[in-house]
Amino acid sequence: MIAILIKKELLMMLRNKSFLLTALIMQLLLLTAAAGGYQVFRESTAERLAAEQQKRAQWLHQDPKHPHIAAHFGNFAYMPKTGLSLFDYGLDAFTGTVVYLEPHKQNEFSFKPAEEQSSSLRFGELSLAMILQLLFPLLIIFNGFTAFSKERTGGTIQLLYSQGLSFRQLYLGKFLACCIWIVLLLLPAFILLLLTQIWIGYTASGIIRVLLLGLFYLLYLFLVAAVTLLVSAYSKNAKPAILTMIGIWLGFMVLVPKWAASAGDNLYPLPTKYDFMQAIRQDIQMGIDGHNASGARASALKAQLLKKYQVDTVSKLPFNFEGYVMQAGEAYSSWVYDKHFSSLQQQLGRQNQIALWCSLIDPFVAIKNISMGLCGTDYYTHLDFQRQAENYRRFFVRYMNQDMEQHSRLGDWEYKISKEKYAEVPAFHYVSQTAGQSLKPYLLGFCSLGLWFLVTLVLVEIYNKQRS
Amino acid sequence: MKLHQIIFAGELKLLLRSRTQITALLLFIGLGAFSVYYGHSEIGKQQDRLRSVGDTLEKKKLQYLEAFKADTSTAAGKYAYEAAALPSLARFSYNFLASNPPAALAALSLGQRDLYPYYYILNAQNLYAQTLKGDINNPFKLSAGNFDLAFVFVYLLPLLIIALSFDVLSLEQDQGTLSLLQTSSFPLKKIIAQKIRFRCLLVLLLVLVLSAAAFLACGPGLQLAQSLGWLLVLFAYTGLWFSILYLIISFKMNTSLNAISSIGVWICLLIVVPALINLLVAGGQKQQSSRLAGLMRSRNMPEKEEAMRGALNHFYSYYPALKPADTAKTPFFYFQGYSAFLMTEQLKSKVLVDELYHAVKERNRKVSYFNLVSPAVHTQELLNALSGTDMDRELQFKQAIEKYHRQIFWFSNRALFANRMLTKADYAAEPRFEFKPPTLSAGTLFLGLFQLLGSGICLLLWAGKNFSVAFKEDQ
Repeated sequence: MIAILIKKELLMMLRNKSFLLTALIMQLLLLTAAAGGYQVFRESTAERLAAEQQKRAQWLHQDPKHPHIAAHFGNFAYMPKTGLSLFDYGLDAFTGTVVYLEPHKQNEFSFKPAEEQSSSLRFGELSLAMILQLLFPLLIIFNGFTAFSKERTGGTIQLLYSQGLSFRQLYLGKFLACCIWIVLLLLPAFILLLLTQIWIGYTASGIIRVLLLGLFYLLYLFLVAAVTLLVSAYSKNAKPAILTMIGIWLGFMVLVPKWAASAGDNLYPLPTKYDFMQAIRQDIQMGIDGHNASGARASALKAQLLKKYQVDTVSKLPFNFEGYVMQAGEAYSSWVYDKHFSSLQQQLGRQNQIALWCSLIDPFVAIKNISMGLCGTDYYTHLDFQRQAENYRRFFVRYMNQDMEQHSRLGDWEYKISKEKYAEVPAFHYVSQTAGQSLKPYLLGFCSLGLWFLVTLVLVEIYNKQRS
Repeated sequence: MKLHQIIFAGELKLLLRSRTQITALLLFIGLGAFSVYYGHSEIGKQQDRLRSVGDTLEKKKLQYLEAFKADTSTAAGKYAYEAAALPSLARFSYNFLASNPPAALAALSLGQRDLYPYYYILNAQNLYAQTLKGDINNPFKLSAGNFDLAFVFVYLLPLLIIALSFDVLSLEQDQGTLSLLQTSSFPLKKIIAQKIRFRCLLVLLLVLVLSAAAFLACGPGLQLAQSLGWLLVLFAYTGLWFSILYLIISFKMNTSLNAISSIGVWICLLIVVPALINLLVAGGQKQQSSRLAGLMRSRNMPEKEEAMRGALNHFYSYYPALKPADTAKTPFFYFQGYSAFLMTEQLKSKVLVDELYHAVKERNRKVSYFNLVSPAVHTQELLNALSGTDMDRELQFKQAIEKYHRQIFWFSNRALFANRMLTKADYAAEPRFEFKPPTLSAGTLFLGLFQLLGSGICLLLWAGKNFSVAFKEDQ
């Protein structure tokens, strides 16, 4: 019986010209978004690689100079565009693309692509993810809100019930028919995405991510279909059904995400860069500053080393005391930076936590976060990149300071390292997270999808019992 | 009783009885009130920040001035005096504030103010090493945008218009009262037009009341021209949306199809078209900035006499008057060499940065080509421009900073190249940041209004034609 129902629903769908036209427009939009996403990915990757190579060459071809001065020349870490960023741009426009790595300072990311665009960017960027998250649900809503009211006004619903069909079976038939056309419409987009990933030379992890994306988007869209059918069943006629669904769409997709971001910002305000840097500077000044060996901490360090090596002056130490102090200063400032950055990240985490909790009640926020996470365009991937870039900064600064400590004499600022030494510092390379690591912050999102399915199921059962 | 009086009275009664429409109106008013509060609290935070930074720098200045009286026979006194009087030290430690204070209407349309830093603390070090480094933001918040009054009007007002008007005609069909209306002595087209007019007046009144409340919250400093401009833009945008609804109604579809079509148009104008434009413009234009990353690098040069002389000779080719007749090394020789190096580096960097700003302007110009098909983005841009939160103001602020930085450079370097110490008189005459923000020109405003109203009138004519045809068919 259900198979017949599914067949009938699909047949009606095929006869519905406006549905076919909207579905075609949707496919064209998906194709446009995919082409645009690929172009943006290709251009920004080429530009990043060129910039990376240029900066690396500048580092390698520095004139021979004192190692600490060479460290001050600095390096850059460019945030790579992931292969899946062509599917979901995520926060890419609002996280900086590059960070300058230099001794004594941990800089913020610079050059947000959004800074180069007018406020039109706030209206959104056309991506495959945006179409699937925002527009595809509307196609489902517009096609499904009359599912039960039409049967009711046409009198066919009583005919179906009189043949022994329960509401549960009728609902299931309609739902499965919806699922079939959703899969059929989604399939080209995901095949295209998979092919693009293979074309750009993506790894097995990338393929797993594509498959997971496909799975989560299917679940999300099935959920939209389930809710639309339920609302249609509970509504007396088509008008309240469409108004309710549009209300839900507007609330979940426009108002809740915006409110969550604003509420987070109001409840947990961020410090300004000026205050933040002042606090760091103050904390560093309380200790040794890396350039001044006469500070209290430096004096303590000096006394400790003289005692340890049984000498009466730092010039008799088996290494350059200034280099040692320099690195100790670096370690101290790193500790201070860790303290302040960790508190800043906690505050950012608290802000974002509101949106994460909202994902429990809002499946759109849930899929948005999961999608960004899997595509590597979310805040947590950016944070991971920031951590790795900072580790690299500390590594190359330490490497240069250690050279100074081991190979130069006290007060010898004429000491120079050869160009070969620069090559010993490897270029920065970002190691991507695994799919599991990327999804970890969004566990609440999974619960959201599960919870909504459960609620829908319960309401279907209630309606079924009421009817029988 | 005239037709409009009869219809207005009837519609008011129906409106008061309709729970859905009353809820929609109340929800809109609530969201509008929240957005006014949100905008003012955001701008309030920025104003507090500007005041606090200004105060901190003022205190610092007083400390510098006090240092001229310091007892230089003590180590601490000598250190304080040298920090203030030695131009080689003051050039990198004495800071100046360049701020972009919010315009009177900024709280109503925050625009790009959350994205760009609204103040910089500068010294004579390379400008771009100070301004290109990123600020502290939450990318998630930036991506979600602001819940300001402009968002409520640009995004939610059309939805209110849809909620109030989409079933103006189809409801009569559904209730079976349409045939009754057709038998009345007034043409159906006129009756529908009056019903739409009633809703339009109601929405315009709402826009006026919410805007007036927001203006009042702005306090003094608000100019009449800006407020009038704000209202005119919103009236034109409201008019356009009622024209769209009037057109949809003129096709005489059923309630569900009307709702789908109206929401479909909303999705197209608020989401699909802007996103497509962003894709088209972004796809055709490369991101310029990653090439500029090198400008953030610390500037260092060999501390060799030869290198210093090279930098100074290059510098003197720009400023021949400063070239000393005597080639002997002065006590400030190495510091002068480094300042000369900084200045020439700055001139080189400026070329690259100007290219970036030119590309940004170009991109903006390209987006404006689509104003006619993207009224929502166009309205948002007009509101941002009236509120001084648009890209144009940001670019002009950056130009003003560049000019100010040159003055900051000469504040300490004038003394450095004159081989003298800084004095209290130098501090008294320190440069102050001057920024005359651009205002939206009357021409641009009228062109914008013309485009919004023009599109609306075309749609009304189309709807009128549809109604005439339908009316003849019914007869």
